[in-house]
Amino acid sequence: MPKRILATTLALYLLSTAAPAGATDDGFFVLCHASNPIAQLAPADLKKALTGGTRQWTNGAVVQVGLPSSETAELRFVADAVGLSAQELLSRVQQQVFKGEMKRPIVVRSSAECAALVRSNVGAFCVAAKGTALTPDVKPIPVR
Amino acid sequence: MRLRTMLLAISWLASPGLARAQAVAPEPPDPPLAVEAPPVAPAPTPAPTEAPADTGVTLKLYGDTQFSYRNRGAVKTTFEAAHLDLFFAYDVGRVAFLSEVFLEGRETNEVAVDVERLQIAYLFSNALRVRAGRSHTAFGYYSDTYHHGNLFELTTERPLGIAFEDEGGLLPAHIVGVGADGTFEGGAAGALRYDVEIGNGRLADPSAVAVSRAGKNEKMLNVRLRWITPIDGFLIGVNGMYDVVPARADANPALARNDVVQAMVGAHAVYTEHGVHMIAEGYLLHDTLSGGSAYDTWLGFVELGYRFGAFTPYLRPEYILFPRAGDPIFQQADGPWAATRTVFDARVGVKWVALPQLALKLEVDRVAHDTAPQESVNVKAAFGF
Repeated sequence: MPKRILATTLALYLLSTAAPAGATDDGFFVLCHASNPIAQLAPADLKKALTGGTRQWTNGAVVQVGLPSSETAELRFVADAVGLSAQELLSRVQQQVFKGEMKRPIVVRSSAECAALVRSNVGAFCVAAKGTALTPDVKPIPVR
Repeated sequence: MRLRTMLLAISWLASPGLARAQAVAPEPPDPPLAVEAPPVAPAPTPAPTEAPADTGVTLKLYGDTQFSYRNRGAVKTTFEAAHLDLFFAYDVGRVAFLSEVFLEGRETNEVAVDVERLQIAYLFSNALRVRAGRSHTAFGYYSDTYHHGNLFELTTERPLGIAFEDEGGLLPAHIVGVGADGTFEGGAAGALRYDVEIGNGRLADPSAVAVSRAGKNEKMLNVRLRWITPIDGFLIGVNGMYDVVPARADANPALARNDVVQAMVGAHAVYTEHGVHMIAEGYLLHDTLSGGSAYDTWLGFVELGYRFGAFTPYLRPEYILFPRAGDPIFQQADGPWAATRTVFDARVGVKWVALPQLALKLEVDRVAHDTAPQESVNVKAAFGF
């Protein structure tokens, strides 16, 4: 019995740590404010920030999720990056908001809107296409 | 899949006062700079702030309708449309307001209105958020993860032992008071989440919630600790609660009783990733009658499911063992569990998430109070938008 438990635990751990396909090379980046000290986001950290597990960045700014709207490539990218389908991700976010565990996401309808959100809110983060125009107060962070 | 996702996104967009990005920044001039390249843009940008423009009030509606067949009782079949949940939330910077108004059809066919949640929270850091008002009591996993909003639940009903107060639940599902919660990151070891609450606690009538009058001087203390393991989706938690239930005065001596000191401990283990849904919870409720004996009630359940696309078949056995002499609070002659020693409830069903806003559930249930079983078939449509 202990061997079975150990094997099951190991299998779950391997499943959970497997790198989601396409998380880092789909032509998208996560954008955050330049004052945010994070240099990159692991998929697990991105998932926490997206679903209310992280409420404040290390610089003290309150996390504000910018969620891509509709069935966009940005939404598919971010869902894929955290190992969920787009529907699962939206459903979890909805449930976490209902629980009171996270602030309501701000819907961004384009990469340009994502950049504008990040410029105006030091705690915001969202996904934008690599070709998006940026200003010095917005920085891209790789997911890996 | 695409239609579902679009509809859910549209529901976000369509909500009143939608929190949309404030498109305040002008488009940058000349050829847009690629993200990979260090950008240089002279365009003035608005001063960043933690609290952006008013993001509006969140309004969501959750409800369900059901058809049930039972093999016992005078009326064997019934339709129900008994639940409508109005959820409001508003955030400004570190402050969050939340309320939940629940309209519920009772056994008498009257519709009652309950303010299920009414809370204000302030975020200091990841390690500390404080809140005040009426909240969901933080015990176990199921109770405050699902609560109202059957759309999110796998089954058609909550476990019997953690039903709401006015439905015979053994644990207080709501608390009116203050609380704090937070998370401490432990790197490769995962994270530790805590919840601490102090509130009015139970009244002499266990089906009531002390919303505006405590009815006693003693306060309820509730603590929950949870280890969020490094295995994604796997967590383990323990919790403890202490309360004093006031004496009950009644003209009928059989219903009068002294104060009861109530202590509850519990543990839970949960895994909800990669299509697997597993929740296991167990509790010991230790009631000590002032000037009398102590009574132990044990309860626990395991909820298992596995998702195949939009379908999740599930199984949930639940067991309650009351003290031989009868619990002084829940098993008085007029109590919800009078003259019951054991309860075994087994549910088997399937949940179909037809749309992100709509779940259909088909469930077969067998609940046995000692030797009197009751079988039922339930078909439920739960929605939220």
